[in-house]
Amino acid sequence: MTRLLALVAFVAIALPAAEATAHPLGNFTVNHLTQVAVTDDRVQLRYILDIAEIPTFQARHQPRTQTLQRARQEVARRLVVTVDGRRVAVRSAGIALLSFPRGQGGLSTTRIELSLRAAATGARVVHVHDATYPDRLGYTALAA
Amino acid sequence: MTACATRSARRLGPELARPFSVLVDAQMELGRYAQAGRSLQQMIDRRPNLASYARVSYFRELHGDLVGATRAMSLAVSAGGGAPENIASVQTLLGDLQAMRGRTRAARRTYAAALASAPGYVPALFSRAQLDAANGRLQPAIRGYEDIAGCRPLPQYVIALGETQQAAGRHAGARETFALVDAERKLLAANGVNTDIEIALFEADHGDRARALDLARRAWRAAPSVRSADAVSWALTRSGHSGDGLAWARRALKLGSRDPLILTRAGLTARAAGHDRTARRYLRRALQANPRFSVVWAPRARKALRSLP
Repeated sequence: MTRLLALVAFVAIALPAAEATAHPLGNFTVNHLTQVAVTDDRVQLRYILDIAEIPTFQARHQPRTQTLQRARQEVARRLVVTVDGRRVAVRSAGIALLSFPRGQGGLSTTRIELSLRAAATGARVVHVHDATYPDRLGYTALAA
Repeated sequence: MTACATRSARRLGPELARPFSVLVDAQMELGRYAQAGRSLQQMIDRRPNLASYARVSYFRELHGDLVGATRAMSLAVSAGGGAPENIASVQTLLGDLQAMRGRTRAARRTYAAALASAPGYVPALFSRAQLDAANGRLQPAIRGYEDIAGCRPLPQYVIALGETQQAAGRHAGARETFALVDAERKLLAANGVNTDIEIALFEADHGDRARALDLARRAWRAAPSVRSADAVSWALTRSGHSGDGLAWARRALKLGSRDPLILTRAGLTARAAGHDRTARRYLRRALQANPRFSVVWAPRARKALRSLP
């Protein structure tokens, strides 16, 4: 059986030049990488979320459980996996990792890793589209 | 350096208009207004388009010609072209000029047009929230600013949110918001950026005045424009040196600016320095075109004007 894997990523960094030179773009960003592996009956995904200093600071009063829950909700809503044209549910497949690596200026960043899977028994075409955090500036990357 | 590189680019391709936009921007921000005016004339002669009309508008605005600035910006909107964000950008600037002249309804329509050109265009959302705040609609303004800060937390936007929360009596919220500005200041400093005019003005009003003065002076040394002169003036006045502040305020107004924020700060500075007549003149001028120009500064201008003999 031949199988096709289509990955759709919008690498969106749209920022006027003036802002980019006046402010360190990196500290404002929410970046995400999705690693995709397709087996006989499933799609396995590892979703890595890197939240820079400023959005981390903005969420400083949020309890850890809520930070994780929000990321899960965002992924459930906007990480779109379709199998032969039909959207399939993306479920949790293992523990989620949450850490706060040191950033610049004495501030923290946030890193979240989610293990996910979607059913794909007998699939011919698998399509993954990461549309999470559409309003935030940052990199979106997909790797198969 | 920018100006040098642009000049050689212009020598290599004298028929091109594009290097001019970089040259004009550099000359304006470096406070070389006479040179900027000449470059701008050459630019618009070569190519009367969105980019050149928008710069003509800014040039006229800096010189206090708000009617001419509005006309030029309307031409920039009509010229159109390029990405939707380019059109939304000049529409937003046109709205800002209309708002500055007290044409509140026209400004609101123009912001709506900008958001129709480029849905979710952040500067238009910001200007709309600012207009709401200035006209006493504090709750919708705060909601608007919160949305903007949620997706694009630039210092300018976050500061506006905090000041509007303060005006609405939400002091706890304002403190939280100002803490975010402080985090951003630390990040800017960690990245070697210590010339930010917005942060200098913020520090003068809400933070550390010595730091405000240091930032403003650095900003002036890096780019001696009327905007950085205004920041130095205000930082001096807030540090108790209103006499020196007034000299810098005159520098900020030397082109004849009608910017009500600069005029208000100049008026407050003149009052603190004991120059009552000058203070009255600046404050009246600040309130003349649009008495509701800002939720923060218009009430301050009015109160100061009432307190003068």
